[in-house]
Amino acid sequence: MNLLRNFLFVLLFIPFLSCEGLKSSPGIEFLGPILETIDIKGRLEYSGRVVNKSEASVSGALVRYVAENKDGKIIEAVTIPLVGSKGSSILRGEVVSFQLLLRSRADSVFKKRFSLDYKK
Amino acid sequence: MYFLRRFLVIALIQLIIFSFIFTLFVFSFNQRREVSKNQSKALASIIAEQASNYFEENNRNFSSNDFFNFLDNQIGVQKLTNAFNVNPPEILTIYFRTDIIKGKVDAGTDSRLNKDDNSPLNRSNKFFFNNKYVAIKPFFVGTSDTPYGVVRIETSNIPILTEVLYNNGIFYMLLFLILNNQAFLFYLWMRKKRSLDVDTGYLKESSLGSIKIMHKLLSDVIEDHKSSVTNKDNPNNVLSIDDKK
Repeated sequence: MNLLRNFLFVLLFIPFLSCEGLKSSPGIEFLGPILETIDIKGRLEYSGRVVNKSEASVSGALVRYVAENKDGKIIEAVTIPLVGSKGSSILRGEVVSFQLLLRSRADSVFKKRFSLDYKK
Repeated sequence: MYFLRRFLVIALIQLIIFSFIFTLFVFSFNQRREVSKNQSKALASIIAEQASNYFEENNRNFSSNDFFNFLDNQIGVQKLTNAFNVNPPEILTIYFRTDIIKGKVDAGTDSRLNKDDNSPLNRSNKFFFNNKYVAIKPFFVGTSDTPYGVVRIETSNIPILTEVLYNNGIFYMLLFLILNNQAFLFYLWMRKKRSLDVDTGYLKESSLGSIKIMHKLLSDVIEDHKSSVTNKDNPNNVLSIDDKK
């Protein structure tokens, strides 16, 4: 009984020791940095690329962008769908470009966050 | 009180061990963060150089898509971030001097378009430290002395934190166990040995007390049996100590 209890304890402990949970599994991710510029009207413009590094094609991939002001309040949130060569699904290893333009004034944006949302 | 004191000593020893391990962790983290800072600065310099080339080639006309493709052709978007490995920059920014001067955007720079370390835009305090590093590099077009714009690169230090923990987690755990073991050995080494002192006695006060009680009880039992009347008629049922003598 003691042996079994020790064995279970070690089994529970190993995942924490290896810290495997800190590594995320491959999926779709941004390829390189996202380029941020200002257009003629003074609005922030973003251009970037996304690559599918997973073993299967993904569908319904979205790029989400959230802009916050100095007080940490969300002033603008943009979601754009990613379109691959086969429509809404992005094939394995495929690179897809995206571009988005904000409505908010550039000087009011203090913090920006990009994220990717998709189904496998 | 005795247990509380003992518990406090154990807690203090654990705290010292944790502090030592935490110091090692912070040292590793700072080392890795310095590497990341240098990489960010180098990348900002490369992008600034490419931006100068781009604007010279295109007569100062700019299109974000064109510039992105230009970077991809010149360096390769993948190569831009390969060197970072753990914490690649998420956003690479190009701001023009005119936009900064007009106040259209805050780039976190001073009047000479160099990085302003005091700007809140360049800091993000979380988990008790600044977990954002910003590299800013002005770029020039032609022979102009005034910069045409700046390249700004933000990198997060949080992935470095998890990476250091991921790489050294087992080491920290083993170190924790070894240090605890050493602390226990030290305790055994330092523990006072009780010497036998013939003059003062070699028994504890509590042991002596219990022996005294036992002695009194036995004396009482013997005394009772001396005074009691023995049943001579039925000797099989009662055992008399005096008779045995």
